[in-house]
Amino acid sequence: MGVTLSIEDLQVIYKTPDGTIPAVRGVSLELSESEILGVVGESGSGKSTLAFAIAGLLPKNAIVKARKFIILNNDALSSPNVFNKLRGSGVFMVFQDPFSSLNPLLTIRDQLAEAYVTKVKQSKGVKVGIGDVDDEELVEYLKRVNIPDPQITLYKYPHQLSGGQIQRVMIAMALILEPRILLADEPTTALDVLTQIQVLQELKRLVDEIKTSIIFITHDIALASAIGDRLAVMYGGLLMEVGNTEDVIREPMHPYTQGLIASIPSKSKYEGLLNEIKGIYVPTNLNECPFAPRCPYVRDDCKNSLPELRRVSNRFVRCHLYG
Amino acid sequence: MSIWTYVINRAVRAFLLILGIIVLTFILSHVLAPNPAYVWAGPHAAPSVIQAIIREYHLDQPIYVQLYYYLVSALTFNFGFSPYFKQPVSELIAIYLPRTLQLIFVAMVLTGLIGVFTGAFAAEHKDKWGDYTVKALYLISWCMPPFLAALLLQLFIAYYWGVLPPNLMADPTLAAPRYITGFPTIDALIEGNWPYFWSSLKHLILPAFSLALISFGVITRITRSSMLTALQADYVRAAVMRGVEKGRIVYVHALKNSMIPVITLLALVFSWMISGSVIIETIFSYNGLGWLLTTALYNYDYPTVIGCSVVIGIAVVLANFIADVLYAVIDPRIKLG
Amino acid sequence: MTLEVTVRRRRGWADVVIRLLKKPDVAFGLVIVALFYAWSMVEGVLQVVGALLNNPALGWALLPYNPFQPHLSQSLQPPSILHIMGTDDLGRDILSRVLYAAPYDALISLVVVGGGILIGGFIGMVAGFYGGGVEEFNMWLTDLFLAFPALILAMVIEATFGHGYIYAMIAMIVVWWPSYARLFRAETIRVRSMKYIDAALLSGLSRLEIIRRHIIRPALITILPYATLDLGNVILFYSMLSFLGLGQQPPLPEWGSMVALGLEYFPRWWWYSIMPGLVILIIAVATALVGDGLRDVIGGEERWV
Repeated sequence: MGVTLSIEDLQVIYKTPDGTIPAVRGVSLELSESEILGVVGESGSGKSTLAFAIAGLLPKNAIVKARKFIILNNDALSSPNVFNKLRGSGVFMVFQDPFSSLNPLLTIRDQLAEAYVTKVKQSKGVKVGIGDVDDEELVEYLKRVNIPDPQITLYKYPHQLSGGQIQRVMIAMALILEPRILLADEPTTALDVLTQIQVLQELKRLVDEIKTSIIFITHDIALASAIGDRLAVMYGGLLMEVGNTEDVIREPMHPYTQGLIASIPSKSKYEGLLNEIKGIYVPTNLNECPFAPRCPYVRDDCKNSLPELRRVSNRFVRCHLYG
Repeated sequence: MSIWTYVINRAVRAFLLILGIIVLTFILSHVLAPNPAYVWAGPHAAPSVIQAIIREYHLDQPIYVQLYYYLVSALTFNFGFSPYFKQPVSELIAIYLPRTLQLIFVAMVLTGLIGVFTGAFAAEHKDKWGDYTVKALYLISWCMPPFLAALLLQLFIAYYWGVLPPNLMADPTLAAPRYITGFPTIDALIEGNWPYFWSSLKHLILPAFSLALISFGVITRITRSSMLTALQADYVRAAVMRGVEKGRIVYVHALKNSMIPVITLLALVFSWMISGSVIIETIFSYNGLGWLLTTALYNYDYPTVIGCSVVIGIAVVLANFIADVLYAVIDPRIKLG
Repeated sequence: MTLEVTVRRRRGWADVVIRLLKKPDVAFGLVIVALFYAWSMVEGVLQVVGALLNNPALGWALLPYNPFQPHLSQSLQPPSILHIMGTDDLGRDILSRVLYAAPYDALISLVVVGGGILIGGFIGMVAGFYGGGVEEFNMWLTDLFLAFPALILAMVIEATFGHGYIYAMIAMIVVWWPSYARLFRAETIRVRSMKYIDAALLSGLSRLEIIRRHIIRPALITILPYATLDLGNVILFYSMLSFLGLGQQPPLPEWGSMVALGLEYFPRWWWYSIMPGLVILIIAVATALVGDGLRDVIGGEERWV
């Protein structure tokens, strides 16, 4: 199986007039073809920043450092132009907010056609014009994401579609581009359950047919476990636990992971209060475990040194409880 | 709210503003003016003339009666008789207004082009030399007195370089076209009067350019800042993500979204240009509405001053209305509801 | 566990000036603006005292030449060491006339902007504070005045009431207040919705106190950059009025009217019209630079339209 993404100790720091803000503090992971990695974390965990870093969409005031940052056998650290080459059928990203994904003044057709043009350019080296793209082909893609009345929808404007429909259009774009790496940032949060299932099915299809690697970002560990082959739990800009989904769900090792799983509402209605992880995310320095303020098992060494991400049995865990 | 609701809403608003302008000029010229009869009759008017004026403009009637007559005449474009030009004011306006309109039209096209391209250029080269140069240019444009811009252009391009004529609307030795539409250039075109047509075009350039020079700054500024915003927008990021080329991103995605505030601004620019034309026309001896207003003012020709002002006010309101409609046409969110 | 927290020092005015001087273009503008108003004050006082003591020569004591006395032998001289801006048709030194006229522009800029803030501020704050029908009416009135091109409106006012410096001043105040009404109304509405107004009311501050401390003071500070830039706008506008013959009457020199007088002698004796125009341009640019600099430092409203 080819490796599509290889990162070692990736850091992303935002420079602001009020000081520097570290968003990602040292993330290492590898992604293979046909693999879906679920990245789970709450807001502020750095999961979206991680995705933007891989997509090359970080704002100008972001500094990226890493020991290794290889995307599809290209060194992302060598020059910013690497990302220009990769975008489209190399790396594609679906954003969280559907309404900010499309230009309000252009039709759906034109924007889908742009993706089509990119695909043709990158796969066959041929440049076609936006106007030359065959509408019928675009309609086929809309049908695959179950958009009703695709011929009519094709010529509509974004504000005339619902959030769910726009998100499906973005998935259709992904289907057109057939990217090797797909970054999906909470792609189903705004959707109803039935549409959610459909979107997930289409994503699975990409993986099966094109061998796409997907990084599926969500705050919902249940969703991540439903779709992901592997799970990566992030907190405070660092990976807390990484392993095969089955293993992690059945036997969560990190206290944070345990808390996340425990707070999934269970089927029974009679068990009293919902479980929760007490407290909220508070930024910490790098000489202590970021989860220490909220950890039910916190000890002295948790406040004095940051645990390393260590291999423990069948996964990686960052916690003093394990060595 | 469909586009029709929006348009009707704007039209009603425009009409109310026009009424307001007429009433405002009425208050100034009939209520607040010390001794309206003298002002309307013009200086050196014989007592018999003043009596005639009082009867003509109903100045001895109660205010609401005066207002009624004033409104009716204004809405039928009857602005009285000019003591200086010895003609009905509406005739004067009919002659001189189109000349100014054609000047302003050319000037606005120039302003739009210069403003949008310098603004896009500045956005593209943000914080580098290109950006700073543009900023300096627009600062000078904003602060430049109209007469200085006109004089400098006249001095360097017409007198020193000699490429363009320094003043007048056209070569005075040429035969002028008949009055068909009132726009001299268009009338010449209709008549097939080519010498006059080309001459009038050449004579339009410097005055129009002067007007554009003092107005483009604000378009540059708004284009630059809305381009910068548009380039940061999420949908631009999304477009980048699907591999759209930089050229298309700047000139299709970003620019289209930046046009919306520019359109609104063009209505404001129209208003400035009318004010500017008062001065520019004087310097270039371009006999349009601005020149008419200035001459009337100088010679205490009050009916003409009021008539011109009302027409100018209406023109500005209409320009704003057209901008509102254009805005709706460009932004599909309003067009399709 | 520690967090970096920066405490912002309450800025004094000396602080602001120092920060302004750090940028070269703003410093340049500030120097010119300061010189302009300082000179105008000195010269203005001299002219007033001279008039009171019936000794008008005080008005040109500091000037290179007497701005009123004709020297026909020296007429229409180009700029030189003797006459930096050249002479006009009557042989009068243009630089002296420009300097003599300066206080009138300085004064009118302060009066019109001040008047605009007072009247517009009052109307705007009343509208913002009381809302409802009062606000609707005030804003409709403001929109009406803004719909009319300013120069035209000023011309009509002067045509109705009379030409001259004072009339120009009044006409300009009438034209200027609507922009400030809009600004102050926006500020008042923004502040009105904030919780600390309710808190202040509850803590027993009188309405007047609240208005003074929480509405007027911050509004003035926000509007300061725009007002500074506006000083230049007033000078530009007044020069246009005086170009049209609506300002001071001759023989009193006025920048705009000098340009108009010089038209007869253009382009051969170009300095007559160009020089006063350049002076106006420089002062307008200087105020714009300072206003812009102030906006960057204080963070007031961005108003370039």
